Amino acid sequence: MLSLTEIVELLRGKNKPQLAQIMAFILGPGLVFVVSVFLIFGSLVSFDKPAAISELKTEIDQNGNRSPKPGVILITDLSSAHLVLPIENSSIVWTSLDPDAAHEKFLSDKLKLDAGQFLSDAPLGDEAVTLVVNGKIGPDLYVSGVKEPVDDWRLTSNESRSLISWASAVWLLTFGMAFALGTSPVEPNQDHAGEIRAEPNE
Amino acid sequence: MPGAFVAIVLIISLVIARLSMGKGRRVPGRPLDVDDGLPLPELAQSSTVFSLTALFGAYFAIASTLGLPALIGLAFGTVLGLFLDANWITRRYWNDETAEKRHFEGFLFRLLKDKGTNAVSYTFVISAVQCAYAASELLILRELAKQALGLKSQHATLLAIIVALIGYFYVLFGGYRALFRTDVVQLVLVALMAIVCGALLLWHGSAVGWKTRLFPEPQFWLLPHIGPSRWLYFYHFILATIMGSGFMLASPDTWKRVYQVIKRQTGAKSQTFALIGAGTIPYLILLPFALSINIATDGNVKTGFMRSTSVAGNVMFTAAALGLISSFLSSFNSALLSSVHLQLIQRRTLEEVSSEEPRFHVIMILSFAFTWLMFLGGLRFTTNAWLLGNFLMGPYAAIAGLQIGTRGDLSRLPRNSLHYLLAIGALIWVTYFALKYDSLKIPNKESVNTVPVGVIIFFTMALLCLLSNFVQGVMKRAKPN
Repeated sequence: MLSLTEIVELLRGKNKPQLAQIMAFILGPGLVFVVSVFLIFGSLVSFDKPAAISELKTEIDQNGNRSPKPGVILITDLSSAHLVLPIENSSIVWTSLDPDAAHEKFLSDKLKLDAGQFLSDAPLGDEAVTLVVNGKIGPDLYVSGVKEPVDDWRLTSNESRSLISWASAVWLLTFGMAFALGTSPVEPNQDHAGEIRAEPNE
Repeated sequence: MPGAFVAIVLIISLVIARLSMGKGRRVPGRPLDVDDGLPLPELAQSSTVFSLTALFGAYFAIASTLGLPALIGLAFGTVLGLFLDANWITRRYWNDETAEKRHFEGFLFRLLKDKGTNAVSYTFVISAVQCAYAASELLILRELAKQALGLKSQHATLLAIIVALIGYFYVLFGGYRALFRTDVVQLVLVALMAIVCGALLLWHGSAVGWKTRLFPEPQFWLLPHIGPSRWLYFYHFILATIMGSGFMLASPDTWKRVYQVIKRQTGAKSQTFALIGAGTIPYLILLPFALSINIATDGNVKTGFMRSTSVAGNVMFTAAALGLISSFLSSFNSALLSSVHLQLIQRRTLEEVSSEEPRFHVIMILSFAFTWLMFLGGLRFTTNAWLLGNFLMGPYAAIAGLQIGTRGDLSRLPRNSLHYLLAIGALIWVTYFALKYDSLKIPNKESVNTVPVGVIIFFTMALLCLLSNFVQGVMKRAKPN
């Protein structure tokens, strides 16, 4: 990322055509991208969330009988995330932590099920932890007090990750090309030999 | 690895754009004065109609809710619009110039030169509408990336911004050459998506019979005391025809493509077939989608309609991703470049310079920034990704009415009058839209009802232009010598 000093150096001593070229090829698109990423992801630029949520809806037994069983799976990562999920009619949490670790997290308020809310204060261990809670979740959750839609925390498919990753790679390649072109000398009249010439407009 | 396939296509297009840089200019220092080496303008024209806002937005909604008569009207209107454009360009410019002097920029220059503030208003409205159209494409791409490809909101927004930036660079690097050449690649991918998805949708079948989908129970575009009959279907056909032709008349990227078809001078017969083919192919591809996808059972549109069938398996995901991104790039780039070109020519009518490269760069980045801001505004102020496209129905209708009312010649209007005429059209449309906003702010079948109001705007503008031309003529004759 260019610092302010580097940007000023880039622009110093340039004439108007060169400045226009730098704006169109480098600064303009760069600014659009940086501001967009900041608006999308905030100051913590991370392309993925520190936890994933998946909603549970149905229970099926070995005879194929099905019944509604609302619940939620929360898979927390090693990143810090203070999550509060509003959840109705919940009474139990099933976790991948061993009993002592689970008890310790409960006592230290890192895991809590209370008054229609499930609280998780990651990291909960030195690896990803899975939690299953019965009950019906709402459309939103709270991340460090800020409301966010649950939809944004659902698991991302491999195809989606692949699409975003590759598109980002092509963008980097394109911007690199544009940077090189944007800093190249400006020809007064860009032209190639052998092209058709005609009189300018009357 | 669907992402890898998308990356390959984007890189191929990038290489095409880079290799097109600076090539084919008629005059040095005129980056968009390129008429040679632009392949297959007919296919490129189909590619414009294959946009997310038009074909996969408004036209799809009309075909789904109103059936075959409206769909045929849209196709007929598109072809009619292409012929009207061809007639306009031939009559106003082609026949007046010698072969070696003809070029598309000459046509635009003659359109805008010596027309005072009328030309400024004309350029401003069309350029702004094209940028808004590009923003609408962005909003819909984002929404379809969520619904059809299963991306999360943030990832969909990021994907839309990245693809838009890449598209911006295509046309910044390579201008019209890059646009036309990448259009061919993109059309192939859109067609592939349409064939794969269309076949799958038809295989799964529709819950409702085909006859019912082709002629659904009329709920919109109704006439008093006339039930489902050939007269009502004829009315639907007429409304859709006006809509389809208006879109062609008001799109400067279409003018460029039609110009290229005329330039090929392949004879009247092949020109006719080229325009008919370009106009109808998109609707043949739309038909299986309209037959198979039931977007609404009542009231609100089911925005998750594509997810259940379209992303089953890697092949479908890849086809859908490639098709959506290609469709977006094609229309986004066309709209952005045509907006920039019109502004560039308008500036030239005020002041000619030896090299327009700096001007081109400045106008490109400002137009792109304007489009981006509209996209952000759309995200911030509405949850309906199709709302902006719906709103643009009015401005497109107004511009088309202006084209018809002036027969493509701004000098028929009194000097400095166009902004008043446009203000009248804008007042009617904005008032209607504000009154209907509550029913339009979520994706809803009600949105197709904006079309008849758009047609009213079209006729209002055309009549206002004819009237002002008539009044101008009367006043000129009455003026004492």
